[in-house]
Amino acid sequence: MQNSDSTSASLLRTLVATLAILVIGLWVFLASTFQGQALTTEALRQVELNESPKKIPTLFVVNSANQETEISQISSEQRVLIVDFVYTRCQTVCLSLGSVFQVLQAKILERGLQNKIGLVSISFDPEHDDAEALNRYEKRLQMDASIWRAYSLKNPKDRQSLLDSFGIMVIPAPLDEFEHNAALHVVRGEYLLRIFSLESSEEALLQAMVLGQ
Amino acid sequence: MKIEKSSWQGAGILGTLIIAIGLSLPPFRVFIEQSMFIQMVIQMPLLFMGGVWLNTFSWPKLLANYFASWNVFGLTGFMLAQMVLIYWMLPISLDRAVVMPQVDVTKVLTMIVAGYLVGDALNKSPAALQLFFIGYFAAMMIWLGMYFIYTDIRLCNAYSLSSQYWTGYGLCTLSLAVVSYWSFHVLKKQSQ
Repeated sequence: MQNSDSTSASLLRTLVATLAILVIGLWVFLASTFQGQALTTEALRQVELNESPKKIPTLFVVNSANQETEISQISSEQRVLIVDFVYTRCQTVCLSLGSVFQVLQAKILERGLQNKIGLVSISFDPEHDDAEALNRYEKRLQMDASIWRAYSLKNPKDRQSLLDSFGIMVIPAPLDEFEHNAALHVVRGEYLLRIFSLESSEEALLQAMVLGQ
Repeated sequence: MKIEKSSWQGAGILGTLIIAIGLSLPPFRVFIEQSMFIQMVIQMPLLFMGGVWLNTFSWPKLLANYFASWNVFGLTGFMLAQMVLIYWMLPISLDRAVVMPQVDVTKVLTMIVAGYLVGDALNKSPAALQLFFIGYFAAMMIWLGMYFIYTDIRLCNAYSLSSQYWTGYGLCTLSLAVVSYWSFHVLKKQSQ
């Protein structure tokens, strides 16, 4: 009798412990995935911005005409920017990113939004991408300078701080290429407001319009 | 299922743990930083197996015996291990383990503990309970593996798409290996 009592007591304890672990496990899961909304780092980048915009550090960039500006100054004149990150030698993901931006450029032209929304491609490979490389890149992707411009960092030492502030992770790939998380970053002034995946470019455009008002 | 130790195994266990933990330390850390396959299909299973084999030493047994009345049939251990394994299957956890050293330390410790708990639980649980946990875990690994193989979305910012693709095949293989090994042992025991 005593033995069976202690057996059922142990069983009860075990069930309580198992249940406690289940609850703690669920709590840890929710706490580390933004309440279950972010199973990937990309998703986390997007949902975090829903809470509050992120300030971009002061970084100087140059354009294809070798003119120097601060990133936050590109979006002066009340324009909202859709920003992506590239390196001009890119043959892989940047091509699909490029075509997404070409479609966005066409839509902006078509809807007459060029005074409200601008497109910006920033190179994270300042060692290779000088004004001349940016110039070739702008021509290759048929950028309309009134809407879409390419920029490169003025100071190559700012590379990591640029990538960190936007949450871009660049990893080396074969054939001297890079692989990186590509997305559409909606920026106004010195704030990063929203991030959209390449598949939601229409949504990014609509949000940029709303945020620009 | 009984985890037993023969004379040469002590060195093997130590070696497994040294290799597995070493992959999180420089200079070998570059391997898990560059390859999802090495982190998920090589390092994590090694940590786990190292933990399982800790059951062959006598000193961890003392701790297990102390908590035995809280861990009937190894149920608590199975559940805790399951939580740990699911957590380290999340792409965001893999990214964090690469970027944040404190997360990687957590990964190493929890995977060893998970392995130890499963090894302990296998020694004292009925086959039906083992089937539930092992079957569930194997199904999850196959599902995740297939997803890694077929998706063209990069799930980890730290890893390339091709690395993710090969990890998919690795997870499917691991899953089949776990199921085959476990079934073989259970059937062998049944036939005795």
